[in-house]
Amino acid sequence: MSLFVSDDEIDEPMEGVTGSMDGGYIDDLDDPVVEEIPISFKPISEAELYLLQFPNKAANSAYAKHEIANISDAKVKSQSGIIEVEIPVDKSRFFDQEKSEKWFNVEAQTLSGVSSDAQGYCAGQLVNGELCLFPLAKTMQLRPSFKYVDALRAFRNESARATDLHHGPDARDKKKDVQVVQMSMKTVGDNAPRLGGALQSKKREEEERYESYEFRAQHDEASVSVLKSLRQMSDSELRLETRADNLGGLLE
Amino acid sequence: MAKRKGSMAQSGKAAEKPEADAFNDLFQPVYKGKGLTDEINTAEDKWNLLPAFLKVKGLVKQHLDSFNYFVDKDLKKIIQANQLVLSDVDPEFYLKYLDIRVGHKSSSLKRGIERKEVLMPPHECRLRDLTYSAPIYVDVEYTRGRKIIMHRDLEIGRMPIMLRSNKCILDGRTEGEMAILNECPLDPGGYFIVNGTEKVILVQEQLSKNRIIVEADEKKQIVQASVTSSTHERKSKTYVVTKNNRIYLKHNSISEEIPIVLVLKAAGITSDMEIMQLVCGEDSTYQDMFIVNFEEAAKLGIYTQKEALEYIGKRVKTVRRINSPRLTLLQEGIEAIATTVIAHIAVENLDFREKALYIAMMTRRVVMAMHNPKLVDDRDYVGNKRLELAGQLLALLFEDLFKKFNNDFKANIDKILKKPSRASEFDALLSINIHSNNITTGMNRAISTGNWSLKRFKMERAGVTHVLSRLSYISALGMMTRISSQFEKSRKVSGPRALQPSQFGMLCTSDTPEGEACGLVKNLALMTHITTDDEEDPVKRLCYALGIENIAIVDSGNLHTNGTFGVHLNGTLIGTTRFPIQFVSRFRFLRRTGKVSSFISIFISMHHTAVHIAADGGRICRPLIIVENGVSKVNSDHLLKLRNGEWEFDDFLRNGLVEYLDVNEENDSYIALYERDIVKTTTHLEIEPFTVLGAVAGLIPYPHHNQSPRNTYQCAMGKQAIGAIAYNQFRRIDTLLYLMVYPQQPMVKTKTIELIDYDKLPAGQNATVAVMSYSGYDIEDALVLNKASVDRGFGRCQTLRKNTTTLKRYPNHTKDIVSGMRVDEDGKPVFQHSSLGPDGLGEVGMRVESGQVFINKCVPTNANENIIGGPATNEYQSQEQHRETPMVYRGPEPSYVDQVMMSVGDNDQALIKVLLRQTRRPELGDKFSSRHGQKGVCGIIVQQEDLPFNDDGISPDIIMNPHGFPSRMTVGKMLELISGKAGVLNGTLEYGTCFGGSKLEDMSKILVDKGFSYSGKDMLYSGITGEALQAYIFFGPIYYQKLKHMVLDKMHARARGPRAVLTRQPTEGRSRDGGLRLGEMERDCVIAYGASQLLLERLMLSSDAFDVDICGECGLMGYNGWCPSCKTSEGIVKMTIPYAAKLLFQELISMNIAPRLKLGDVF
Repeated sequence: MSLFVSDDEIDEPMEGVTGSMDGGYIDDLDDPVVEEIPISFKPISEAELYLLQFPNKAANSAYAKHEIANISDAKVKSQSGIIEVEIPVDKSRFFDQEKSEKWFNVEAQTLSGVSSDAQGYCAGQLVNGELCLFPLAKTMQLRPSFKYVDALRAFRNESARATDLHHGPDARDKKKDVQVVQMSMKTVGDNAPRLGGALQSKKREEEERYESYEFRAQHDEASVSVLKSLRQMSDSELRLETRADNLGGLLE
Repeated sequence: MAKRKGSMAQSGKAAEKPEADAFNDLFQPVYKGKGLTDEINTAEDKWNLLPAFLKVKGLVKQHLDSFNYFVDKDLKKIIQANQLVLSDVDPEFYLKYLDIRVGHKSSSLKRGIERKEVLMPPHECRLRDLTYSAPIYVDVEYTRGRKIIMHRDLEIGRMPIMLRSNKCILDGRTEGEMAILNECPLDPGGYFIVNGTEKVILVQEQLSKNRIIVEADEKKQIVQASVTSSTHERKSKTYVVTKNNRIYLKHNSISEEIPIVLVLKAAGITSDMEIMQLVCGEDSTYQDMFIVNFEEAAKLGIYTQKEALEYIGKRVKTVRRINSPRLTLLQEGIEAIATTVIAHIAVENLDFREKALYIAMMTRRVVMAMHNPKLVDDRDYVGNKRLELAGQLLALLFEDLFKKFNNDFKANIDKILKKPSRASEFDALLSINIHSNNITTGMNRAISTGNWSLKRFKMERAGVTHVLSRLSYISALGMMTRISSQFEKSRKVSGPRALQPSQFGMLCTSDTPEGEACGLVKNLALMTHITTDDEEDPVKRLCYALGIENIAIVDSGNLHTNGTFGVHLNGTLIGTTRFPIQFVSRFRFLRRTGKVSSFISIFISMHHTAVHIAADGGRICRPLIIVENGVSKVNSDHLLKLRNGEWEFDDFLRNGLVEYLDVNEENDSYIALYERDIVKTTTHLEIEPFTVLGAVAGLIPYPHHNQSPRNTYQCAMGKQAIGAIAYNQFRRIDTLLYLMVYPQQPMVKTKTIELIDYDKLPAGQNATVAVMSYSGYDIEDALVLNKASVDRGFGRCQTLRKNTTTLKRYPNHTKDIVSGMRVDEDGKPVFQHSSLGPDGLGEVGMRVESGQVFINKCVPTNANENIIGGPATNEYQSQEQHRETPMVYRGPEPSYVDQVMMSVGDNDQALIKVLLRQTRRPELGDKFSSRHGQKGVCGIIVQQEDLPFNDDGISPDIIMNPHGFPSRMTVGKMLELISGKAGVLNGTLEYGTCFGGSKLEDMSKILVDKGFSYSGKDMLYSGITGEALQAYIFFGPIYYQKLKHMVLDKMHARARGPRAVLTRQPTEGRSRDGGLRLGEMERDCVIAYGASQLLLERLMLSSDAFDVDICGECGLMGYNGWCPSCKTSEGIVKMTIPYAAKLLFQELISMNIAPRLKLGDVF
C-alpha cells in the first residue's frame, strides 16, 4: 500500500522514542471496557448487500418508517447503479385529488439515487451477544425525483410544439428547411469529439432498461428468512493485513 | 532520500555530498569553542539542527526538489494522461507511451549503474554558449501491420537540466571532483544553462487553487465565495455571490447568475429541506437569511432536477467544436454542472453529491460571512498562498509541447496512412522523429525568453525566468530564494505589500526591494521547505481507517449539527467526524512516526467546524521541535548523536522529534521561542529564532538592534557588493564580472554567514573606522579613505568584461576570418594592432588601450552576393575580398586581455570570446557601504600621515562622519565595531547573530582587559598637529563592502557628439556618448533667473538649431530662398528654429494642418 512510507525506514526502532505516545491522543481512561463481545464476519458471496438511505425521511419519524415499509415498487438499473423506488401516497389523509389529477393521477412518490461503493462499511446485527458483520457492496441515498412534474412539463411542451407546428405562422417554412445531406464519405465515429464523461454516463443510463425488483419490508417473512440465512453463513476468518506497527502502534 | 543515497554510492567510495565538505567543519571535534567532550546544553545547542537541516536540504532545495519531482514523477503522470496516439484513418493503429526517462536509458538501470547522459559538463556549456540538457527517452508500444512492437529508449527531445538536480552530473560530487569539472562546490545550483546563460525560474506566488476564498465588500454589501479550479485540462473560476441578499452562482461560461437553490437542485438536491440542511444546518439565523433563496426557484417554477438542469443548460455559453454533436438543453445543463462548474471535482456515474456538497459548502460560507462579516478569508494570509516552482512551470510547458508533439505525429501518420497504396509496411517511428526538435526548442525558448504561453490555460506570462545575477555570491543566492508575486505592481493596494504576521519563519521579514516591487517580491527564510504534491488517495483511505465517516453515507441533516466536524482534504469535503481532536492527534501521531508523508498538514478550524488536511504542493513549511507535556522532545542525547554524526536531520524527523508545519497548522499550535518559554500547553519549540531572516538578511550583524528599514537597505546593497563570486571565478567568462582582489571574511560573523558559506566567498573588507569629522569632505555620508590603505589594496577590485564575436559562414562559401596584425615600415605593428598576436586575437596579458583592436575580424565583401561565377573565381576573390571589421576597445582606462577563448558553437560557427580585465583602486566617488544600510561615497583620499592615530599608532582606513548615526539609528553597527574590536584584540571572530551573538558585556570586558575603554572609544592624536583630539573617538573595525557603482563606469562629459537622426538633438545616455540634458526644471530656473540668452543657447543653439527659409507671404517653409507654394523668391526670410520645431511643422502639414509663421520686426 502506498499509504505507508516504505518499511525499510522503520525496521530499527530508536530507543526511547517509539512507544511513548502519552498525550498523543485522548486516553480512553474515562471510558473503561464494560463488556467484550465476539464479532463474526460473514462475507456474502452470492448476493450483494446495499445500504439505502433516505435523507429526507427522518429516522425517528413513525410516518417515515411506515412509508418506507410500504414501498410498492423497486426498479434497478444495475449498469448505471440507479435504484428507483415508489412509495404509494396515503390517499386517506391530506390527499388533494385535484392536484393529483393535474399531474396525471400521481399516486406515489418516486425516490431514486445513484449507488457508490461502500468502501469498507458493514452492516451489523447483534444476535445472542454476538455481533454479525455483513460487508456492504454499495451505499446509496434515495431522494425524491418529482417525475410527475417533469412529465407534466414535457406534456405541455409537446402539446405547445404540436400547436405551433400546425397553426404557427411559419410552420410550413420550417418544414421546408429540412434538407437531406448526402454524405459522400464514410464518417468514422472516432473523428467526432465524443461526449464528456457525465454525458456519457447519462446516455448509458437512458439507454438502460429498468429491471423490476420485489420490495420486502424489514419485518416481512422473506426478509427475515434472508437475514437468517445470512446469519447462518459460515464465518470466515478475517486476516488483517494491517499490522499493529503499520499504524505506528495506534491499534495496540 | 533513498535515491540520493544510491546515486552517491556510485560516484566513489569516499563520495560525500558536496555540501558535506562545506559543512564538515560544523561537525569538527572543536567547533565554536566547543569540543566533542563538552557538555551539551540543549537550549543552546539545538541550533545545530539548522546546519543539519541545510546539509540535507541545502539553500535551494525547493528548486531541486521541484525539478526532481518533475522529471521523476510528474513526467510519468503527463505521459500517462496522454498515453495513446490513435489514427483517424486506421482504427487498428495505436501507439502507446509506456515510460519516460530523462538522462538515462532503460538499459543503464538494469546494470545497476545510473549513468547520466548530459550534453557536457555545465561549465563547458557556459563557455560554449550551449544548453545544458539531457535526452528525454520514452518507451513506446505500437502496431506495425499486425504486429505489436515495443521500442525502448526513443529520444523525443532534450530537456534542460537544473544544475545539482538528480539528473545533473554535479549531484553527489565531492569538492575534488567539482574542481575537475571547473565547478564551484559552493555554488548552490538550482538554475539552468540555456545557450550559455544561467537562467533561474523564479518562484511564483499565487492564491491557492481549489480552495474556497470568501471575501466581502462592505460598501457594496456583497459577499462572495470563489474557487479557482485547476485540473490538468482546464482552469476556471466559480463564484457564489450575494446580490440583494440573495445568493447566486456565477461562472464565466454561464451567461447569467443562477440562483443557488436552482444550482443545488440541478446537482440533485431536490428537496428544499435538504438544501436548507446542507447550507444552514440547524442554525435558525442562517435559515432566516437563506430562506429568500427558495422563493427565487419557486418564482421560476422550477422544482425538479431536470427542470433546473434545463434552465442552466439554456444559459450556458457553448463553444461548439466542429463535428461535435448538438446537445440538448438537458445535456448542456449536465455538462455544465458536471464538468464546467467547480471543475476540479469530478462527477462519476451521475453521482453529483460531492459537487452538490461543495456548492452547498460555498453557500454556507457565504451565509456565514453575511451573518458575521469577520468570517471572511484573508487573501494575503500566507496559508492561502501557494508557491509555484520551476518543476510545476516546466510540467505545464512540457505537457503543452508533448500534446503538440503528439498532434503533429498523429497528423503525420494520418497523412501517410491515407495514401491508398504504400510500398513498404508502415512504421510509425519513421515519422515520429521529424518533429522531435519541437520539444527541445520549445523548452529552450521558454526558459531563455521567460515567456510562458500555454494555450490550454490561456496563460501568457512574461518574465518567468531571469538571468542569474553573478554580481556576487550573495546576489546569486538571493536570486534563488526570491519569490515574485503575480500581483500587479501598479495597483495601489497596500494589503499584498504589507508584512503579514503569518510570514513569520517562512518568508524573510527584511529582504524585499524598495520602490514599486516593495512587498511583492519576497525571499524565503532560512529554514523552509516547499512541498510537492502528495497522493490524495492513500490519505483519504487513512482518514476512513481512522474513523472518518465517508461523505457518501453522511446524512445531510447531521452535517452541520453541533459537534460534527467536516473533514476536508485539499479543500474538498471527504467525511465527517465527531471527535476532531482525537482524529487530528492520531493523524499527527502517524505523521510523526513516518507512516504518512511528513509534509501533509492537518489542523482544526473552529470557524469552519472542520478539520483541514492539505497534501498539495507549493505550501511553505518549516521544521519545529515537538514539545509534549511541557518537555522538548529533543534532548542532549539526540544532539550528541547529531554531533557525532550518527544522526542526520531526517533521523529527528523519523523519530518524531521534529516535524514540518505549514502556516495553517502553525496557527493550530502553540510555539515557544525558547526552551524557557515552554508551558504546559506548548506544542512546539522553535529550532532557532534567527531563521525568521533569510540568507541575505542573515549577513547583517546584530540586526535586532537596527532600525528595520536599515536591514532592508542592506539586503538590497549586499547584492551589489563586490567580492568573490565562486571558486571558479577565474575560469568564468561572463558579460560583466566584478571581483574583489583581497576579500576578507567579516570579523563579526553570524551563524547564517557560516551556514551559507559567505565566509568562504566574502564580499568586503574589515576596515578600521574612526567615527569622527575630518575635513569638509565627509558631509552627506561621504567617507574619508586612507591613501596608504588604498595602496595596500583596500577596496581594490577587478572588472572583467566579455567581448564576443562569431565567425560566420555565408551561403556563397565565403566566411569571416581573423587576420593578423598590420605592421609599419619598421616591421612593428601599428598602434591599433599592437596588442594583437600573430593570430589576430589579443594576446593574453597584453594591455589594450582605447582605440586598439583585440579581435581583428574581417568579413568578406561579397558575402551577400550569390554564387554566380562558380568556385574558381570565388577562390581567386577570397584572397582580396575581405573588409576589416575589428573589435576595437573603447574606454577611459586601458584594459588587459585576461582570457581568449575560441570554440565552435551550436551552429558550427566559430565563437570567439575575449575577456578584458581592469584592476581598479578606490577613487573619489566610489560607493562603499557597511552591513547596516549605511552607504556613502568616497569624498577624499587622505595621506596616512595626515590622519589621526591612536596610542598604538594605528590610523583609520575609513573615517565616517558621526552624523550618520542619530537619524539612522543603526545601533547594530556600533555593536559590530565593539565586537570587532574585541575580536581583534582577543584573536577571535565574534558573532553578531540575530537575537543572539556575542554579548556587549563580554565584549566590553575584553576591551577593558586589553586596556581599552569599555565603550570602544580611543584617544586619538591629530595627524596634522600631533595634538590629542578634544574628544574620545569611537574607533574600531567595521566590515565594509565596495558596491558596484564606480565612478569609472559613470563618468561622462560631452562637448560635441552624436545626434539622433530624427530630431537632430544630441543622443541620450552615457553609452551613446549623449548630451547632458537641461530639463524642464532647470529650464524653469533659467526662466526665473531671466537668462534668456542662456536659454536660447542651451535649448536651441547647442542642441538642434536649424536654418529655414520662411516665406513672408504664406508663412510656410521654403528652401534655397524659394517658396514652393507661392512660387516666388520674394519675401523669403532666413531664420533659425529648432529642428524639432521644423519637424513638427512638417508633420502637421502632412496631416493637412498648415502652420503658418507670421513674421514681424523685433525692433
